[in-house]
Amino acid sequence: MNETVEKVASHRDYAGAKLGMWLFLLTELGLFFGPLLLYVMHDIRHPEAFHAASQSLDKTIGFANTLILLTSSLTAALSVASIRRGKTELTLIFIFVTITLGGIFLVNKYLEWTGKIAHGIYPGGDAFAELPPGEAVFYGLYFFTTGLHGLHVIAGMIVLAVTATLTAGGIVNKRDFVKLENAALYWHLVDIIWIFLFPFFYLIS
Amino acid sequence: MSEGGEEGRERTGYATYALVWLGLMGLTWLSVTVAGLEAGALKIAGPLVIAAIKAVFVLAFFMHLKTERGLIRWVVVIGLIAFIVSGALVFSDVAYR
Amino acid sequence: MASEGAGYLGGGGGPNGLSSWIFSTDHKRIGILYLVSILSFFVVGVSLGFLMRLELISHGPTIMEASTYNSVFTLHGVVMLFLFIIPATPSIFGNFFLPIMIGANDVSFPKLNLLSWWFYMAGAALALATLALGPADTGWTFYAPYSLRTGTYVSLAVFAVFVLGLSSILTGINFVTTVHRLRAPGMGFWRMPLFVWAVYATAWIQIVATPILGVNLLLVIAERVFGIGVFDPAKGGDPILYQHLFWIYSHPAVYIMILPGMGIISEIIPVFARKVIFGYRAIAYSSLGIAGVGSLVWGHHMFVSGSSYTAGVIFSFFTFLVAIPSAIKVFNWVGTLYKGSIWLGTPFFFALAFIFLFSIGGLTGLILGALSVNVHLHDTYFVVSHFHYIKFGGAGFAFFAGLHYWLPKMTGRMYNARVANWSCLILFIGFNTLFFPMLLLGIEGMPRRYFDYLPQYSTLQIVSIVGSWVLVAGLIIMFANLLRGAFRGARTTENPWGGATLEWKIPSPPGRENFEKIPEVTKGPYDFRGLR
Repeated sequence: MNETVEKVASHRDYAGAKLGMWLFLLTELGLFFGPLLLYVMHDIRHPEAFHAASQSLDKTIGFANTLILLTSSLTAALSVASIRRGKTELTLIFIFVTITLGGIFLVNKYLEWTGKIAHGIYPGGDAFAELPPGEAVFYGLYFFTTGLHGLHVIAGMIVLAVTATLTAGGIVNKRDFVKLENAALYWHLVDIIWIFLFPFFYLIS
Repeated sequence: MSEGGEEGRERTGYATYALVWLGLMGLTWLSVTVAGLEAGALKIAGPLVIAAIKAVFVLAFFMHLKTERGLIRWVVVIGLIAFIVSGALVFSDVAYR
Repeated sequence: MASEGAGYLGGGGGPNGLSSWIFSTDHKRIGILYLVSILSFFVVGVSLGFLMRLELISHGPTIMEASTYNSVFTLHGVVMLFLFIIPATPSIFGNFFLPIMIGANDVSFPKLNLLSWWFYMAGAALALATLALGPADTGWTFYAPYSLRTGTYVSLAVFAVFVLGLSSILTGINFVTTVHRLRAPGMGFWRMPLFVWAVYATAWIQIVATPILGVNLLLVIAERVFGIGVFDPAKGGDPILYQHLFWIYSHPAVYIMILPGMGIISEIIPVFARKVIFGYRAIAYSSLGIAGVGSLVWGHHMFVSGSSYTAGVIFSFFTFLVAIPSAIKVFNWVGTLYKGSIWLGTPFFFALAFIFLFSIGGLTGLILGALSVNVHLHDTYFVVSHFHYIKFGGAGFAFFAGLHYWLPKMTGRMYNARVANWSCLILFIGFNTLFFPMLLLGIEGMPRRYFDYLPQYSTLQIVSIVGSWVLVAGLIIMFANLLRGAFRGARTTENPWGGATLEWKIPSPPGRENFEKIPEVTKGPYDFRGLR
């Protein structure tokens, strides 16, 4: 009997769970470091082409999406703050808002992509094949990186949805909320990645 | 290293989060404005520096790095050093080819 | 039914079928899962290597066509690196012994640990599936732009490596967290066994570097499927950037292979010299040093690829620099032997073989790290020989040393020491006969990966091929002896070697829980006072 109690206690290692999560976030950063590094290096190699291609991206959508994701990050942080105060209902609302904002972000992204695809500018498209060499690379990286980021947004929404169920079921509560905290950490990371993608692709070339 | 020290940990108030969020919104607006300027170097460095500041805000407040244990800060620092140094080494190839 | 003394291997009253293994979250059982699966793939890798050598016994096609030869050396590389030597020591011995050595009952995330094995098996299945479909012929490096164009199943092979990388990352996260969170009372960082230090440093490389390989492989898939152009010169892309992203991971990966092996040697040497290890902190710090500096040397794979001269000078400098922490380790091991009370046990023979072979590998590495010499030796047999001295002569022999050191603890049974010693000698002779002629061939200009060769290389090629037969014979003898020992060997005691680290204080094999009560650590790992 005593032994089981000890086992449960050892499994509730908050600091360990969070350390593990942060290490995982580090690997996610590494994943995006690759394409960003490629972006900078190709920018050095083809400055004019990158400038031209960057101009054609819709800054307004990029700007709006940045604001949306930042706001969703706020609500994610607030969901953790409210579970710590024991306000389950408020927590659920904040998670719901976060997921919704993630969804709006994706809809915007979809519109932006389909706009480009309608003009044939996508890897394999007609206009893409006609592009000067550097511009093709820009769009290649644009689709790859924002696509990878989009997948992470979807993953984050799923993770948040699961933690919302756990919260509703009382498994995540005032005393034991590390799962929600880790889910929020993941969401913030997705936000941080976008914070960097936005200036790189939309602003500085 | 007290276990379950989560409840006792310092709690950030709702207002702080809201302020940080306002700051982030403002910085985003600023970066778009700076990028529109006609001032060469600032146009490129500005948005990137602002992005870095925004990331620090998210890390410090939303992700609670401010109140986090030293070890977790080390995770971030080690990652940053690794990425910056490897980036610089690749740069030493591409820029001087 | 649990037989007396079966420990974690027994059923403990419950069923002991396959599912009690492949769904087990016990770090010891997961270690055994890795042991069985990794060694199975090792057999595949050895067979491929053996066939490659055999093909070269005469000019022209002997047992396979040139294109088959390309696929065989690709698969040999993928299997040996990603399925054998990268996971071997951390996943088998790290899983089994790291928690025990720091006085913990399991790793921090046992379920993740099991998931990691499943990822490993999934990746392995995908890699071997290419064997049936049409194996890649790019070499294990998947260099663009050829990997973007070739008609073989490169995407599948690349995805297999991606999944294996995921497995490696999860293991790394688990080990770092475990070392920080689950050390027993009194087990400070400076009381950790050096094997734990080595695996800890390795885990950091796994976490930081592996994702970059992962995304690089995803980019290759995106290139092949959609043609995004980043590595394709025709679209303005740059294949050299592929090489950068590839080696940013793959050079540190060499240290993922060798560091845990060095950890094993650091355990064996003091136990068999009956003496506290010389320069404990220097060895611990040099593990971190290798992990750090070793991450900055990748460009020495690209001296003749068209990367800039500036980059060449910088990378050459760091390459020389990383020799220092490696040499610190070698000197400290030899320093430990000085005036020790040496016991010539089997693990010790393997450790000595390791030191000798690793030194050759390290020194030839310095030759290759020099910019001007590299131009002559690049992509010759010299390189092949160099990295086999490091990966097989180094990491491989260290792994064998670990098998002979720890298998009695894992199974509770002892192998035949005389046969084991002979197998070590045969392996050592076979290895050198196989790979030393390659150094000479490389200097004479024999390029690597060629299906055929000029007549003047015949003699040394034949010597090398005979060496591969001796090596395989040695492997067969060694594994037969170990297998027989594991199932039929005499029961061993809890501490057959007189080691002072925590794993020697619990029964052989260990019980289902490592420790009835978490121990209180009061002395260092190499304090042999009170032991025989």
